[in-house]
Amino acid sequence: MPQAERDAPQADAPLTRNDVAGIADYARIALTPEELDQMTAYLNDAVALLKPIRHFCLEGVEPTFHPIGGLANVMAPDEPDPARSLPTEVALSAAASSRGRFFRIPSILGAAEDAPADSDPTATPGGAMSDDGATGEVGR
Amino acid sequence: MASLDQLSASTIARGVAAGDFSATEVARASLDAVAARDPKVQAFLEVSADLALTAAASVDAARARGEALPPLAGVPVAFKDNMQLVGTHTTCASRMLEGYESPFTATCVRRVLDAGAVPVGKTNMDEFAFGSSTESSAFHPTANPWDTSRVPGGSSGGSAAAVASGQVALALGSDTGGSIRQPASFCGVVGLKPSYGVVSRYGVVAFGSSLDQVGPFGRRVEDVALAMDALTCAGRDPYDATSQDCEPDFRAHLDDPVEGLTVGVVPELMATPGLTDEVRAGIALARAALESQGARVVEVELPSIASAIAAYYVIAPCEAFSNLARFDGVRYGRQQDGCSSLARQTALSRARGFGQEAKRRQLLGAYLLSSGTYDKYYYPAQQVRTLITRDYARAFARCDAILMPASPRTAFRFGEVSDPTQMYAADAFTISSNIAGNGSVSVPLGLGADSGMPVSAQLQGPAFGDCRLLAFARALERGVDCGLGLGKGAPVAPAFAGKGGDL
Repeated sequence: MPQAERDAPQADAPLTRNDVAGIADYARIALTPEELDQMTAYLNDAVALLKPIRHFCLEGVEPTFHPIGGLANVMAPDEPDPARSLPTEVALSAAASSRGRFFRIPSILGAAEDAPADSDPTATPGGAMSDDGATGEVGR
Repeated sequence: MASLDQLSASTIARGVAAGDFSATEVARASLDAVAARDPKVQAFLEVSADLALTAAASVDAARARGEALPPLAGVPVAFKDNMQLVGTHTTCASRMLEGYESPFTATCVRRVLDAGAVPVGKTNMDEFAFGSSTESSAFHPTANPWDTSRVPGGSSGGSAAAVASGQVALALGSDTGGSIRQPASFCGVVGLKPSYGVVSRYGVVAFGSSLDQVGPFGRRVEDVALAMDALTCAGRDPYDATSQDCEPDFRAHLDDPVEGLTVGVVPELMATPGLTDEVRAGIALARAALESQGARVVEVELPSIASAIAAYYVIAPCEAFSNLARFDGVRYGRQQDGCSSLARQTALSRARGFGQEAKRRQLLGAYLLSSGTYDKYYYPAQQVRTLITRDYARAFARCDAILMPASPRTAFRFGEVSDPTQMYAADAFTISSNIAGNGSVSVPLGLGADSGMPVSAQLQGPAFGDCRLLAFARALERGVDCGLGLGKGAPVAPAFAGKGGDL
């Protein structure tokens, strides 16, 4: 990684409230306005703790992603393993919402309005503070 | 009348096998100790009395049939609440998993139970293992048995406190950045983080998949060795692709002499800001104890260790964000109802299920993994991981174990460390073992002169050298008196000794 690219100026700018709202949206964690302020402060403190890593001399050092090298994904025959597989009814038993053999979820694309009983002050999914309507999450 | 306080896991197992007392008597004594002591300690999130008495009855029946008993038969054990055990809930101390019943049993739990141990309950922790004080548990904090106004450490604070207060003889915890060793140090018990891959992680809720490792707490090194034999005797776990074969001869090598072996000390680490005088004195005591048994002490360098905090607090949150993405309220866990889109349901379920530190860690991980930022932090962090691993390899070419503190200080008071990044910085002595995958153990030394709280030393060993590491730990234990006499291990915290627990 060339040093210049790693030290692009915008990377040193503090995260703004808007940046953090975008991160929360991506992370699928809705934040209240107060939490958004706290998270912005925290993320900037955390990044300050981590920033030295961008200036270490790491030229030519191969990364180690795992302490045990040479791991490969393990494949198994496509056969039920009763010793390990969860029976369907057990797998469904912890779900808050299910129907028949299925977990039940709301529409992925969403409706035009969220249920009026939802009293959360956050206007959109995730942390975005501007109300861009329920379609904001399409394609994510 | 004998009390559990006077017995170790080893002596309980011997006594049950010899018929001195039954497993049921021991289980009842342990449950009695829990009833008497845990209201003040709050180590447990769930007490599994039915499971305990059923397991104990099974041990007693086997003995009555004349069968040879397995090595931990009748020993009361507790499990951190991130470990699945059928018949209990597994909450990770989070509202996200409140009420979640374990549909299967973790391999590490299974193996300890197969060795005859009796499951007393699930212990408190920092939520999803994010923390160093157990204060972030969604349900309640846990108190340090040596001073209930202080924290037990974390994230395995409940397990450490349950052992330190004599409620159980053994407990399992998990360690991603120090979460066994630091609470062991704060609570004055032995705590081992094995080398990565030695103990199966199957059925343990993942925090950092390249860092997590399960390990035992006990009041004696011998008890920890017995637990390690139980955890490893069945070989590697086919359900955990990262698990490795390991010779289960921890107990067999425990009393191997350290004479002629070499212990490294790292002068740079002993100059860490914030390292207290009493911890420094503890390390000097530990060094003298090992030297008096014939170990040679040399200075070694770990030049990249100053980078370890930054590398860890990049790698761990990134892996945490990935691992906790599964908590979306669909298949298990808290679900926000009344949402008209999946994205909204996910975002609100997670917002309402997770506590503040869990949200912080995941948002940090999300940011660090995002496009444009990954190359600036995550990739260099893994390069630093290579440097740290190499540093240790060079150091272990010159010594057999490295001696250092487990924590810069003894247990702090509730609320004393409220700034998250200040909490992170205190992990300096423990995280490098997780990064490199090496085994490390915390061994109690007695009480500090200034705080009156437990002080411990940490020994770190090369990867898959955990048998020798425990031999060093046993040597250290032989050379210090924690209040029971030289080599007798750690006492139950005095405020709780004798309260219930009679056989």
